[in-house]
Amino acid sequence: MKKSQFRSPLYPYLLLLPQLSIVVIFFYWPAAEAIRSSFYLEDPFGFSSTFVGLDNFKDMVLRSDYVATARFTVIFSVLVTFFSLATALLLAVTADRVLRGASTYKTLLMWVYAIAPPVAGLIGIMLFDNLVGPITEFFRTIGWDFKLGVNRFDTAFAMITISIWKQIPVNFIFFLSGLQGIPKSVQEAASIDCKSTLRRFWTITFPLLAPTGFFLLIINITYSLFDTFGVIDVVLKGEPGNNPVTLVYKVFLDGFRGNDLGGSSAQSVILMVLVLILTVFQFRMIERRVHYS
Amino acid sequence: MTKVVIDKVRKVYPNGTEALSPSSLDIAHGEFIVLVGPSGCGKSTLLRMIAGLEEITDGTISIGDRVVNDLDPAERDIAMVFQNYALYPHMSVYQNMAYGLKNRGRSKPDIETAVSKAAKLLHIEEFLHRRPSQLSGGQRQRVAMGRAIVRDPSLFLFDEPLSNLDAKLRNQMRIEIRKLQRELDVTSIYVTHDQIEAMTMADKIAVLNTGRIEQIGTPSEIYHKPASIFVASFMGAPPMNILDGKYNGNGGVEVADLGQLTIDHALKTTGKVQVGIRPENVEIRTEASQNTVAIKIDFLEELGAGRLLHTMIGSTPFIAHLDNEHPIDSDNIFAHLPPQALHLFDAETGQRV
Repeated sequence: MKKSQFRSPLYPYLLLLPQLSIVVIFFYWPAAEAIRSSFYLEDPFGFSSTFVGLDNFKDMVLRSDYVATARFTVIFSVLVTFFSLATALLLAVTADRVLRGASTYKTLLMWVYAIAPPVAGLIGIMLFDNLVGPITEFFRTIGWDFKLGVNRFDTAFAMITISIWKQIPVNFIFFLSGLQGIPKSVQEAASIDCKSTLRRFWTITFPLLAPTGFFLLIINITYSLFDTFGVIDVVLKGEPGNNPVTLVYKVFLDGFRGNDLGGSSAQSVILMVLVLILTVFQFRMIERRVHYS
Repeated sequence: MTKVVIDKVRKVYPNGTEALSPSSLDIAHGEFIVLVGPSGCGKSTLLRMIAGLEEITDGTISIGDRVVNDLDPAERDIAMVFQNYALYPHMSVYQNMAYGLKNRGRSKPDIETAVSKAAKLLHIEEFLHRRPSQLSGGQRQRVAMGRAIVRDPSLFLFDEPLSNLDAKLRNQMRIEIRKLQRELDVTSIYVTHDQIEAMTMADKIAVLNTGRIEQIGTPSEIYHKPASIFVASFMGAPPMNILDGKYNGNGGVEVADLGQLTIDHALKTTGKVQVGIRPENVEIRTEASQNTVAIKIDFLEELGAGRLLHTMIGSTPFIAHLDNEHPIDSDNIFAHLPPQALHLFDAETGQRV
């Protein structure tokens, strides 16, 4: 590590100040504020607040709708993460077989990445539209009376499918570049050592993709927990009614629709802790495992 | 007993370039054959077709008594050592060596015996539980060898296995590979662009150039009786001296700037020829006689065991290899080109005449 000498001991801190103030103002302050208000009961008009200790948390975990939402969030995250990773891997492996050397084709495939996520989400919702959606139309021809926003299961199905669909290109590109990073000669050596293509995939290709895969796993869990907010909001059109939502969406609903700022803050504190655990886990794992070369 | 027969094998890539024109090669059991040539000559393509990593456009390859054209690489009973070793980075040395055996359904104690035997032979027992990334280049090379021999295949394929090693290690591994191959008595095909490796290791050399086999022969045949001007100039360091001349029809070749050279056999062609002589066959004399030319020393290169004399004959560079015994009087010297040491090639076809 190179050491630099500064004339004044304050100078380096001055250089750090802009970045630090952004972090403090936009991340730590709101977080601290959320933690503070999770211990208070605020009246809907914001005139007064009463310290209630852990009552908000107690309230939250005892309410059946919170537990149901948490359960749905887990199912939602597992399905979205698993299917977006698995589909992307399958597509990447298939593309990789054709792509060795064909760089124009690769560039074309990469373009998918350039489509803005909200646009992709909107297109997805149009496909599931109750009146004009081709997928809805297709489901009806095979006898599934698909009703987005009316039937709980149908809504959840659309939310999950669109979330998976939107995430596949990102995963695909990472997997593809991961696959292309595996030396050709290693694959060739494996083809001499092992006849079965499938077995070769699981014993050579898959382990060598593990660093990419692990990174994507964390990215996808985060995505399915937090970044799917937009998709869910567009699907529900802001009116959840009886439909399932994820924890992040519930924070928004209770806080801004229900005006329960204290309860909403308590929920977001729980989510913060979740992210913290996830981050620690990620750094631990990345340190410990999956570095070859 | 494993003999390998390569019968009129040809390789054309989808874009139409012909990497290898129809080539045939017979390899007897236990033979160590080296494919040598400059890059792009088709030697690696041929090796990869034998391994099954590259489709065969035309012709057949048989290993033992099986035609292997349509067999998977894993079914050909071969083992290959790659230039960059191609070890599995996520497996220990032991697992690297055991992988091929495991996939062939060998039992665990069986695998253990085979791996420890190979590890002992290659002196890599102490590394068995390390990852390839924790090994030096030479050690990785040994592991790659170990992975090949542990399977006890009927054919070894080597694709420039020593080119990533430093010079000293390369010399040592060259000898070790050859010793090992003799000990195991396994037919081997070895690709290199290094003519010293080819000369020192091979039972038989196949010299390739622009997708064609120019000559197949023992190292001594290749060196002393090169079939073409390409083989003559590719094999040997420093390379053979080549002079342009014209055959006069009765035992003499007219060479510009040199005069008439007597040769020891009659040629069928009349016309332009090229005359080659190896530097070590040039004799240095102090007086003119038959087949001599007066030379001026441009540069003397000291090799310790001898010296290289650089000069020009006309506008052609010319090198003579001298021993240390005779002091050189730089004013008055002549190069003598003994008739029996001259190689003659047709100037148009490049073939030996």
